[in-house]
Amino acid sequence: MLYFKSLPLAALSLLPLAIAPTVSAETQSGQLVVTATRMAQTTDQTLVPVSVITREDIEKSPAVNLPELLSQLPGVDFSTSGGRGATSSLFMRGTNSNHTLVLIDGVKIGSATLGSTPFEDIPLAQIERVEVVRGPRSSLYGSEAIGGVIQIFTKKPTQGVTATAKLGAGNHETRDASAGLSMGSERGSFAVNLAHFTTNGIDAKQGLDSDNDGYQNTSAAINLNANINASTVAEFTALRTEAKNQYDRSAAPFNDHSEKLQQTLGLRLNSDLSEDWSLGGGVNQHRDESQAFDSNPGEFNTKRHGADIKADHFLSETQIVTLGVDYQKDQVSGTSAYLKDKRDNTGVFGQWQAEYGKLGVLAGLRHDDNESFGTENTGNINLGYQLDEKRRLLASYGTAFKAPTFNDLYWPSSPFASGNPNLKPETSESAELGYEVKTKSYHYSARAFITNIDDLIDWACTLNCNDGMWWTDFWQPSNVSSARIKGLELESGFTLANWNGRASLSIIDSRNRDTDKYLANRSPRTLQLDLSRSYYESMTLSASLLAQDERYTNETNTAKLPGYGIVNLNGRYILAKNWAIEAKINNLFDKDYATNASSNGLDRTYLLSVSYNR
Amino acid sequence: MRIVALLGFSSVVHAGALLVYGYLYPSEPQAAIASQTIQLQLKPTPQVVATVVPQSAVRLDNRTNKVLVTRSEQAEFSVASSRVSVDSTTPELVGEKNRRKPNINQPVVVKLQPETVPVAPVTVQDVSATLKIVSEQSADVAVVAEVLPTETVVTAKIEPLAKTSLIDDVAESAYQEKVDPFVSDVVVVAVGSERLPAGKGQAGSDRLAGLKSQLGEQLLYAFEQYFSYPLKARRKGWQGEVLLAVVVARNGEVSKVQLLSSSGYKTLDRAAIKSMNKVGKIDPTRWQLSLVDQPLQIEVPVAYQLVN
Repeated sequence: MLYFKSLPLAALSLLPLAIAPTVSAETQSGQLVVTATRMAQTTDQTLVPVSVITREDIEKSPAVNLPELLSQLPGVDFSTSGGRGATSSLFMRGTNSNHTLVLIDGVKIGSATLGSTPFEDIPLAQIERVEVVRGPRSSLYGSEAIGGVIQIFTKKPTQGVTATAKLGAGNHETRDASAGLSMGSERGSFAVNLAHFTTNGIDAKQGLDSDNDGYQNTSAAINLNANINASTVAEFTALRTEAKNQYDRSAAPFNDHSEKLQQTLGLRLNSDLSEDWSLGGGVNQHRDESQAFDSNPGEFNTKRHGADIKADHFLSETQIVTLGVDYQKDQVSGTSAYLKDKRDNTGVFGQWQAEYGKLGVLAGLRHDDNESFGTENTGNINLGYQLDEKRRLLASYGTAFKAPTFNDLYWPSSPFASGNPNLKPETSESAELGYEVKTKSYHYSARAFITNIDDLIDWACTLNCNDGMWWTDFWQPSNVSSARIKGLELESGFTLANWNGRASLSIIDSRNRDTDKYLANRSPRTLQLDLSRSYYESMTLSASLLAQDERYTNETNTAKLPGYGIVNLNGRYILAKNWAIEAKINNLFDKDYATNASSNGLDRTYLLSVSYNR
Repeated sequence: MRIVALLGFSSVVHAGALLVYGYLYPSEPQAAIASQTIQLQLKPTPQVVATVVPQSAVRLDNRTNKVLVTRSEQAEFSVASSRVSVDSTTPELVGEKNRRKPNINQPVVVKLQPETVPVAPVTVQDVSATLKIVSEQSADVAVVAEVLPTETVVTAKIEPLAKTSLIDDVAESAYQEKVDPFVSDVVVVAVGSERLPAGKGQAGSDRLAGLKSQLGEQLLYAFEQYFSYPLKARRKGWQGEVLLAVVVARNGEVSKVQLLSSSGYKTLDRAAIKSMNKVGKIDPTRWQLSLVDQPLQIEVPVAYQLVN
């Protein structure tokens, strides 16, 4: 029967849409289904490369922590100094580890002193969704969005009452437990989630204390939503994680470790004033605290207060203008007496997005006024042209910046070193061309980009450097170096019957422009493969491969770490209505590898879990 | 080869006359007529041809967009006390080809009594036609009605015939359309009831659902080239289903697009109408429109969905 030809399509539509077409139209069961990608909250992925990881993807993934989860995305390259919980630095599209802006529920996180983001401390158990934007986005978000933006959303409450619990155990004495409760009605909703993770880990560093370096993480998240009226929603989000990470700074028998706190609080009000106007505003606070217990003890605390107001106005059905202002005040404290311990930043931004038939345009401008370095203007333009129902051409240009950290600016003066209050921000220019083909069942794309970063801040000896006495050297940071990054990202994926597959290859050449040496710790080539198969509704099996080429570990390119490839597996089986079991095996072939000099990479690990969901 | 039911596009229509082709037992035409009544209140009186066929025998040819009547193997179909056996699966085009050699199974032409036409003038909106058909396996009944150009609104409705012992269940559906004064003919496809008995009736219903979906697919195929999901709807997370009524003229032109049911969002409704209007004309080679002698009105459901 001819009309049965729509059946395979109908069957496909029952599968999770791992591959989402940007915008497509297909006939299913006698109905035209126009499918579009739900606009990512960070930015529109029809014009900007955005990878979205949903809760379902997390459940299917072999990843146990956030760096492992993100490592399967194009443009992402982590360097980790040990096992789970060890410091993980992200080099998004070859940029520096502090060139990626990370937000949790819209609140900027990370340390203002070191400028780093503790990816390893944000538990997967608390995450509902992750959006990873590649390329500059400072024109919307301000400082740090040079390499990209990662926006993490904690679990949101749903209608009705649901309760979840999960218990897991694995080798290295790994224990994983989480529980959550969500309640919702038409008036509002509420969710609370608790999680605990502990592992004895592996020996993080070679050549020092050869004990196992363990890690513990305890977290709690609360989400509250109140529907004040039909068009106004108030939302409160809170995430607190406390972590303890053991590492080796010195030889045995010292128990070197750090204790860390991440706390994000946000209160937000969103209102649709009319069909064409919506207004949102909120206040937030973030705390990033870290205390080291080792031969060089110290405590570094960042407290950041923020507020913002944003208005969206639809000029027509195909044009949106967004205007907003945000304010942020960083305050640092701890054992170091910084020359200055607070600074504020005010940003004013505007963004315009329009569709003219097959042409899509996204343009943004932002002006930042920072107490420590003055003003910075950034902008971007993204163009997308739909060649036909499948193929798209993309082009973009954008500038971005990274504010100097408190360490760079205000490190207390000593006979050996001092911050430099005259530092300017690091600035970048990026351009990108892309071609993508997307249908409901497969997609592939190629993107080529180039990024120049100027005024990179480097610490170097500035006084008494060549007197032969290193102990008289005086170090200070300055805006001296520049980098050029050229990259190519190839991505593809398919959905066929019960199979889902995805592959990405990132080829990134990131170099110091003055010396032409490769920037340290980046791998020039990364291949990621994911394959999953579902058996009816009850079982999912996934396998992933992460392979990276050798990387230099120093700026002079005299030392390097070999390339490696690891295979990870995940199996999930629904036992009964509310019960499921799950097994994760990471580094299946027990590959001995590392992504950070003299550190050890995680050996083969497994984690078995039982979960309850109702 | 024998054709069980046909005549959907018959041109055996006369001005001012109302005709129904029932598929009836040839030797007892009057008995069959007795079990079918048609009430029409029309002004000016349109010409309606309705063909009663087993649902299981009806489907739409995907390429020609013609209603085909298929004979199912060993299926039985009956209207009222009529009983006809069908024994083949070969589709046959209903159209000009058959118009020249109709009545293979001697269908009965039912002429409505003139007194059913009201004397009092009615407004265009009030004009309606009611077609009552009954059969032992009424879920298997499809009605293909044909309306000739008039300035009317026609409602064709299949309703249970009261107090007929033969009735097990009665197919029921309603179809409305507005015909422009000079937009010519429209084919109405009235489809059997959704609440169908199991078994053969279900199979027939599948077939009719298929017929409906295929009618739509012809247009949807063209529509696929012109879809859009407006920025505003994507940004606001709007999703929904729009039901369009599309009239396709004989030359393949989309002559009229109307909103039958809204998605709840004007933005999506407008986008669907706009995209459908962009279709303009459907490729006549695909459609082989020469075989179609009437414009088609097709219900086109368009779903707007957002995915992650």
